[in-house]
Amino acid sequence: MRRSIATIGAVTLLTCALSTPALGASKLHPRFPVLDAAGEHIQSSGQPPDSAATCGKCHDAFYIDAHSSHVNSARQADCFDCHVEDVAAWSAEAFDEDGLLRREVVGVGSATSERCGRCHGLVVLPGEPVSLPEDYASVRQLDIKGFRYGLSVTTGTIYSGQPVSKSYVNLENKGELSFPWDVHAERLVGCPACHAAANNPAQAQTGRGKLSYIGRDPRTPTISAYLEHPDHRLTNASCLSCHEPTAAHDFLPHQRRHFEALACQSCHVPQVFAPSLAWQDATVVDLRGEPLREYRGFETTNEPLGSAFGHGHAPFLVPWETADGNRKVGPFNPVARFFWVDEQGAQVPQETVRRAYTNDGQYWPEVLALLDKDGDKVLHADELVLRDTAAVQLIASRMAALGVVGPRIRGLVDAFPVVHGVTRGRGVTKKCGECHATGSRLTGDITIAARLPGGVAPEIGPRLKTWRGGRVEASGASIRWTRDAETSDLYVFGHTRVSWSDRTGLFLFALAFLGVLSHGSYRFYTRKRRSPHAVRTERKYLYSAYERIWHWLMAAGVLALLVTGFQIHYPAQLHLMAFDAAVTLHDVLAVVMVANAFLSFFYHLASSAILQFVPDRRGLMPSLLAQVRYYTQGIFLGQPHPTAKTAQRKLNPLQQLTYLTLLNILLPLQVTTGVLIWTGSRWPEALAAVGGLSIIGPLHNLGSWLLLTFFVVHLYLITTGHTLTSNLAAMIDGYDEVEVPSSGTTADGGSRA
Amino acid sequence: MKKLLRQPWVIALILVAAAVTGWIASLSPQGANARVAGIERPPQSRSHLDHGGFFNTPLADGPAVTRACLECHPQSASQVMHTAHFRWLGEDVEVPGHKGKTQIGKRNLINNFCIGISGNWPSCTRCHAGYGWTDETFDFEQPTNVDCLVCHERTGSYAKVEAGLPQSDVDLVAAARSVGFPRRNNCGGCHSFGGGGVGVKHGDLDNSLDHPEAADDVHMGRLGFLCIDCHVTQQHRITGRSMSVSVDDQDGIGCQDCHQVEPHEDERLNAHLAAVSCEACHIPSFARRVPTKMEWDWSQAGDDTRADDPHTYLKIKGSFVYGTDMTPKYFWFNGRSRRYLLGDVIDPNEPTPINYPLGSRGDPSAKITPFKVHWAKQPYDQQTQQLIVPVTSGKGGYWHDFDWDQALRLGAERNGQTYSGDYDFASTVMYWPLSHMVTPKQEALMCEACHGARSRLDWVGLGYDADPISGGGRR
Repeated sequence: MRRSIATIGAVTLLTCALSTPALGASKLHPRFPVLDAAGEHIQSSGQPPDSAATCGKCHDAFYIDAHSSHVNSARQADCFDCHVEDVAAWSAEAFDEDGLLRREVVGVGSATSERCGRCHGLVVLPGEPVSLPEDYASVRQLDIKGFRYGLSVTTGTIYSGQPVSKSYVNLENKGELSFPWDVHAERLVGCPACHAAANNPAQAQTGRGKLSYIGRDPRTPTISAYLEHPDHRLTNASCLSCHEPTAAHDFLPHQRRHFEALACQSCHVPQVFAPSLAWQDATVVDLRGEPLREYRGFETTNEPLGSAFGHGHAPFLVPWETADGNRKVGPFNPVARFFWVDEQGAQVPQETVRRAYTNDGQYWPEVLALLDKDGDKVLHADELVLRDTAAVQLIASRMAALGVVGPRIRGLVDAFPVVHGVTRGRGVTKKCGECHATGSRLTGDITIAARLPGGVAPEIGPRLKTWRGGRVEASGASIRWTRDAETSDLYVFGHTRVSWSDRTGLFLFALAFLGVLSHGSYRFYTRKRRSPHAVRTERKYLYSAYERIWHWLMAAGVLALLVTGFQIHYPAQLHLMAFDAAVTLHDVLAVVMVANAFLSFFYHLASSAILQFVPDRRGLMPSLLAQVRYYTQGIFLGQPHPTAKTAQRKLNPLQQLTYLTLLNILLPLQVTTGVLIWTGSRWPEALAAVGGLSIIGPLHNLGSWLLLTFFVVHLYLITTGHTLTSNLAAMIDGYDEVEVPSSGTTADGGSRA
Repeated sequence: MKKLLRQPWVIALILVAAAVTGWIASLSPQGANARVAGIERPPQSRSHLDHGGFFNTPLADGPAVTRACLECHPQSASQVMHTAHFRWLGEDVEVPGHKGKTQIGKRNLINNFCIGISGNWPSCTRCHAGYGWTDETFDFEQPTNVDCLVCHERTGSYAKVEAGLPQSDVDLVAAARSVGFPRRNNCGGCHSFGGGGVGVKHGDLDNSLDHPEAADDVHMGRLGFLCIDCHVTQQHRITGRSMSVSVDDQDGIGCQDCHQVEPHEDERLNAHLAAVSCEACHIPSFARRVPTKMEWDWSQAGDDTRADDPHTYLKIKGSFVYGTDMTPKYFWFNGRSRRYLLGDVIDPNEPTPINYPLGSRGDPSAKITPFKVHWAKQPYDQQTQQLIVPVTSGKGGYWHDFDWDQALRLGAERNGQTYSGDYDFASTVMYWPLSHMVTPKQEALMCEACHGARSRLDWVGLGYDADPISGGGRR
């Protein structure tokens, strides 16, 4: 009974497998004769079919060869590789008397993801669980061409619509990873959707023209012309070929800047969950004869990858220079590869390397003697490395004995952009702090390989050469990417620290704070020496309702701007609100502030109150000195204020100077730098003309330190009125308790009346 | 301070500050999270008066309990007596394909499980919310015939035997003292066991929902929903509609009674709602833990040579196919359905739909909906070409004498049908829309379940030329 169920199951599975076309086989493709290279029917000649002879009858095989990204010196794909369901089905019985293939075995159609996956990367079809195949690791070449899982191994991405949580890959907290390996696979957007024949009229809308002013060329070839001359230089559609990012990022402050500075994958591929290769060392072999490898995101000690424990891995975010000369930040996986080459530079076959190391499943005794550092007769991964000249020479001489001429070690290191494996939902990061924080993903050196066989400096591959903001260092026992301490042109808020700005600001603030503290303490200490009623006072209406409103609006605004500003600058240290909330708030408050400042400017102008801020040039020095003398001496002795406060003259000369500086220098500085930062992506020329973000950002930061300094001093000086709170009370209800000068105490009291 | 508060600008300032604070709060992540689940009406928690101190005299039988209940709840019995739960009959409706209006319900409809209750009352009315329904003379106007306990008792020890009477060893006083709002096992006691055993009928209702995990049903398992959280009940009128005993969607319950109209973050998913029911993706499979009956062949019954096995063959019932973790079938459904009524003529060469969901691709009110489809072979009269309700349980019934002719003759008599004596078995099919066993959202179907090479949908059967992923949906 049980067996019969199993049989039924197997039959059902088989039927499913057969009825599911592995290829998008077309129902329309005509029947045709299958020819060999000599142009003879294969059923009579018995020779293998030849695609140029067979397909070339109708499709221009010469043109296709000349216009194909799959035909080059490294690889000669033929039509059958991508377009025929099963060439083996073309047996002698597959043909009718007329010599044409029977309808049901034609099986010709467009390429599919499954077919691309046979050469390029791990593609898992719907209904099959994602698991790591045994040969996942068998990387032979450091490129996506020529080995099966290249794209997956070099980037850690898998093309499958299955949720990561349902795969067979042994991942930490897998249950929470309820998003697909690849959202495009999930949504049935196959490889050919982005990598299509360049002149396919059905795909024409995805290919943008070469002319800058042509978005889409409507003069597409007719279907028949296309089928005769399909341009096989496949397109590389970018995200923007299909997506309209501005329609989907409402939550993101400063969208344009983000789109300009970031590859979409920076946020949309925040983690990869397949093992991504860090390095492969073929200068040594393990006992299976395989090179040594290390993967990012997976613990691979002894067990096969299929059951190894993985955590996933956040690809390295690195600034790089795009082909058109722009600077962007995007995710990469750098890979180092070490191998033996002979005199001609040809790679020594793995089999030869294996024979140099092992015999009959054991290391040769002399190899073991040289490499077994801890003497336990077993070569562990950290011992299996050619560290010194002696080791290199031993293996080189053994290889020479096996017939390799002039063996030497070659190292290659390159970076692979993580462009696939795009996910959705919870898989996409919205955490600003991944970049906007002190210890963010933009920080820290990258260890590309924790070994450097033979000390040979590796050649740097073309994509690694586009990396910016650091340099490759190969020394000692590792290859690293060392980031520059202060990147010159990548200013990331919350992440970038510019020492001159922070230090100057902090210094001035600390100075003011200490000054206020000591002044206050001394006032407190001397409080009993002063008589509280030494001077006569009078209650005067000093501040109109509008003046009070704008003052408090300004105070609240500056305070809120300072708080949000510091939240943006120190997101990892302050946790008052979310980063994006702080940015939005800061932007909005800035507009409110500027509007408030403009209204009050108009008020002061219209009501001539602006004259309050203009110091009287005559007698300025003496009155200034008197004010300074008051703050340094008189205040401790309980002397009256040197400047009388009247409705016409509310500010003492020291205040006048301070506010003049504040309103004419600091405020415009903050507004200008703020506007430049805000509009930096809309008018980048304006920002660049004044030194770019790396100058303007720190300047704005310094300005905020100065405002904070002012704020502290201002708060303290409020307490220096007739009583501790009389100034504060005045700014609330408008009435101040002002000292009435006894005649002769000041030179200029009320002189302006 | 008082003077200050009287100043208009101070008040304005306070108002502005409050508005700004509110706005800032809405920017914080907690504010955003509150919307994620898309819930507009969370379930209520409810408390019930402890009846432990009441019922201090012995209660002889079921009606005695009901009399005691009615002392304080005088309206309750008459409320129940007007509902389909008691009458097993609905209001007048037009049944598609039939003239005039008829009242339909469990009382007079047939299905393709135990077929029909007429003639089989004592056995079927075990699940009646009343006492003593043994034949057509049952008094539906007698308040003490209402069974309060089956829905309200909470000891879990209450059990009903033939004609809905309490089992003789039930402690009625303890049961009466335990009453409260109905819990899942009150409802499940009947609804999870329809068709003669656990999980037989519905496929999305079985006793795994008594103590479910989130994966069994996200509402009941993760959020602790009771049936009455969705089946909102007022004056004993319980909302909800079962397609097996009705032909329209009056009083039906929908996901959007609680969930937002556009619940997904993804526009594309929301766009699907024009043509796809929520259930289609969120109930990816049914009978996930407890098997449900998928096929029932009455024609195999009566074979002494076959061993009885409740999941494959019973001499009294014939052979069955059960299924666990089944994939639904998908049809357009606009809430209305076709219905076979007794007396309708069948084509014995074609499977007869006992009920059938109405709707089509061209019907804007129809959505693609998941169904359990139950196939059966059941007796019909070859002369009149009508399905016949046999008497199965009780005297002269098939289960006693294994005589189809006699069972059908008796059944036809009790149902007012003519029976020629020439019977055979015809294929019938019933459609059970799925609405329970909603999974956590991570388990909902993804695109490739329906689109692409391995679709679970029959696109051509649904009226499309092919998978609409490339051609677009209905317009």
